[in-house]
Amino acid sequence: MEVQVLMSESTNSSRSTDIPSTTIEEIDLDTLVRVDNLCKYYEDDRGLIDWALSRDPEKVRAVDGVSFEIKRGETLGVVGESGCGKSTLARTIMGLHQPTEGTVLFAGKNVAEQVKSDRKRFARRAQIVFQDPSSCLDPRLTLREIVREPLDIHKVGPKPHRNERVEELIERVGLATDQLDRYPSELSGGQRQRIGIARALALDPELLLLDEPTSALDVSVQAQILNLLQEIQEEYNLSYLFISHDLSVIRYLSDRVMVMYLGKIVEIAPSEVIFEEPAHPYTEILLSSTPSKKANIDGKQVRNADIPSPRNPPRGCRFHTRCPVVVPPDNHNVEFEQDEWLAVFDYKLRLRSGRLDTNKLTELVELQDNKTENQTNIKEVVRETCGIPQTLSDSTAEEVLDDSLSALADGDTETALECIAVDFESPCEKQNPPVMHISEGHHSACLRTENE
Amino acid sequence: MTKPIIKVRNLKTRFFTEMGQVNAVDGISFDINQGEVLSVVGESGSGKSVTGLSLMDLIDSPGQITDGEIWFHHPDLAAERGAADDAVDGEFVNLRSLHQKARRSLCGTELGMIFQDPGSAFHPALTVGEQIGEAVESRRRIARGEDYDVKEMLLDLCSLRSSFVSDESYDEAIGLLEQVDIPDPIDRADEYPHEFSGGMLQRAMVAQALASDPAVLIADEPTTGLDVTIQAGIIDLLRELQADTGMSIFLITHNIGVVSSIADRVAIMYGGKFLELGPTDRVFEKPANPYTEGLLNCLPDPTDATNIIEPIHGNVPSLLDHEMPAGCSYADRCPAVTEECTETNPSLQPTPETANHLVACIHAETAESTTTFPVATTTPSVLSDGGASADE
Repeated sequence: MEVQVLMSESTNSSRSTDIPSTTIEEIDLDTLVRVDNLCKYYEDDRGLIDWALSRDPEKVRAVDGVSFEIKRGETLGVVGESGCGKSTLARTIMGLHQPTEGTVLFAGKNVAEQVKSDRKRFARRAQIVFQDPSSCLDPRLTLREIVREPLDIHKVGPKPHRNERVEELIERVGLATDQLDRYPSELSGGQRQRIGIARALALDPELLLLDEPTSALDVSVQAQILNLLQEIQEEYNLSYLFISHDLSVIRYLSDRVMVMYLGKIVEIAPSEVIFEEPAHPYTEILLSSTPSKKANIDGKQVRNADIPSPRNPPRGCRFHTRCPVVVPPDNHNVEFEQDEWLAVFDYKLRLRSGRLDTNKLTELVELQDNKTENQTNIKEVVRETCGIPQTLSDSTAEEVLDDSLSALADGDTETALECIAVDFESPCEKQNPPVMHISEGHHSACLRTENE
Repeated sequence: MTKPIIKVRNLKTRFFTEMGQVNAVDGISFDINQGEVLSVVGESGSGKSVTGLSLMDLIDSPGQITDGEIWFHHPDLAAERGAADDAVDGEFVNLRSLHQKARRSLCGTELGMIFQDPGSAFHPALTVGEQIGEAVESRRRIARGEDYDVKEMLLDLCSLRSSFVSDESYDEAIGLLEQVDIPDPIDRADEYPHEFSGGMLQRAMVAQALASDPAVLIADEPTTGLDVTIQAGIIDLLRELQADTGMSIFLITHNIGVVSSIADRVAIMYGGKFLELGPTDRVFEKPANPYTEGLLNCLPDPTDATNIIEPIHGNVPSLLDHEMPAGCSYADRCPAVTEECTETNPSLQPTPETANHLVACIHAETAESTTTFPVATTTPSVLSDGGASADE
């Protein structure tokens, strides 16, 4: 039977025999991967001091409660900035990491358990293509040995047939068979990536995880690889989880797109919808900052360039520290103009992150010419730094702000923060935005969506 | 404004390696105008970074600039040397004919450069403020006519003064950090490079380049490796600085999206040569060279779902001298190739509609012109052998 699997062109029929019949009825046949509330935290080693103080080491919340599905034969694009957890997600789905919480079901069976009992068996069904093709190929193996390795490890078919299979694969990915005895160092980046793809295809998987497969390549070569990926997807009926930070590539290849920010899904929708009617401000920013040959970089930008650390992610909506449309307070004590509110919120963020302590204030005042450090001057300088107007339009808000500024000028940062803690609290800081259903297959996690 | 600030003529940079001679830059000519953003686009190995490094005189062994002239607009220096000097042409000075010391004092002050990987461009054991302060300090010392040689260095080491950077220079460095929109510049100046994020460090490097108030900023892939949101910030910053200071920017990148956002003119580089040079809108709307067209067709368009990308077949060509084709370097990948292409090497010619849109392709429609480069006629005849004298 092994030989048949190996040789047959349409392998889909033989695949289904891999799934034990008991699970077939339980699952939706269209869904290949189902991820439920998946969390993956990385923990630092518990050091001596941690042990002595009996405290837990800090956790890095790389993936923090994501749920989604991948259908058979579809491409799900994952996009986000560096550090948003996209690669961790891929590795956890592959079973390379044990999830901290939640489950990944692959064709109805739990991946973590499958991997524990028989990693090899699972590996035949899901494969990964890495970003940097030069570091994932063994420099001391020839191309033939590299592509043959998975076949040897999994003992697919009799040995002579394996070489035929290797040749078939290598031709499929657009290389000539006379290159098979070369070493990876003799190839260009694009050719190496083709080898990476051939190796991933060798075991006839159902799911390919593509972790930034084209970001190290030139545009002309990137186009070749993208088209190759599209062709083999149709030919072998593969499902893709396609990770990239390049939105134009995502749009070209994906049926659906998932936008991640600091370990959470902020928006997921069919490709068309994400690009035409994005609902989440973060998606909008990503779109407007992607330059293309037609569209300039314009429009909305993040307020704060630094991405917060996933060690200690902001409370509430994780994007609130950078969001250009953060929701004003809803307690009806104070009213704000949008610009004013953003400036005041900036002041609050600065206070909270300790960027407005006494030393800092002294330095700020010193930068101004001919000014001594007194209360009025400090207040003025702080207003100027944060872009707050001389008086706020709402008198209650002005009073609260003035109290806070006075406390700050006296060197009491804590009181300053306390003064504005309640009145100037955005709903975005308080609550985790619920995932809202917007239209068919379009979900977004933003409070503004809920209000609308 | 179309007054050139740098005129490059027939620049050739070669690397002499064990594998053979590599023609990284193979006889290119172009102008950088005052206050413009000129961008060079190409795939890896097309020679674009080497072009930037050649302008800065940063080519190191086994590389060498073997031929060509780099004319820099510097009326003061030109007047000082007098019109009779071989290295002077009107208000322009040929950087390649200057002595190393004079050249070095221009590169780094009048010409600033920022690099792709800011993490490796900063010294890890010095604070960011100190490193930017160093750039400010050296500019001040040059302005005061002070020298900093081995003697001064030894004196410095023996003296009790702890730092090369004076307090005023350090304060100016803080001001520069503020200029590039780094929040809390005072605190950040006192931090080490590893405490900065990639985008912030790139901003700090821009600040360092600005320290000498350069007339031309050479930016080598300034946004590669950064997230799109951060990239947008850096591009905005460059645009603002350019508008404020009026400097010219020579932007080296492979990202066509970045080019269309910022560049006034664009040069398409391939195999060590320019295949097309012209106003950005014009080149991207009506590409005259098949390579430019192919490159644009490779790009997926994020604003359009229906577009289909057509890859260019084959690979970036080798720049090894003995492997380089006799004719057009793009001939083996070009869809419109004819036998003639493999024999004649095309030169940049103006297109009939726009005079400042140049193309190097024998099949492209070109205006009737016999000059290889339109401005080259201004080059005096004495300079034809200027390259040889500068080789020493």
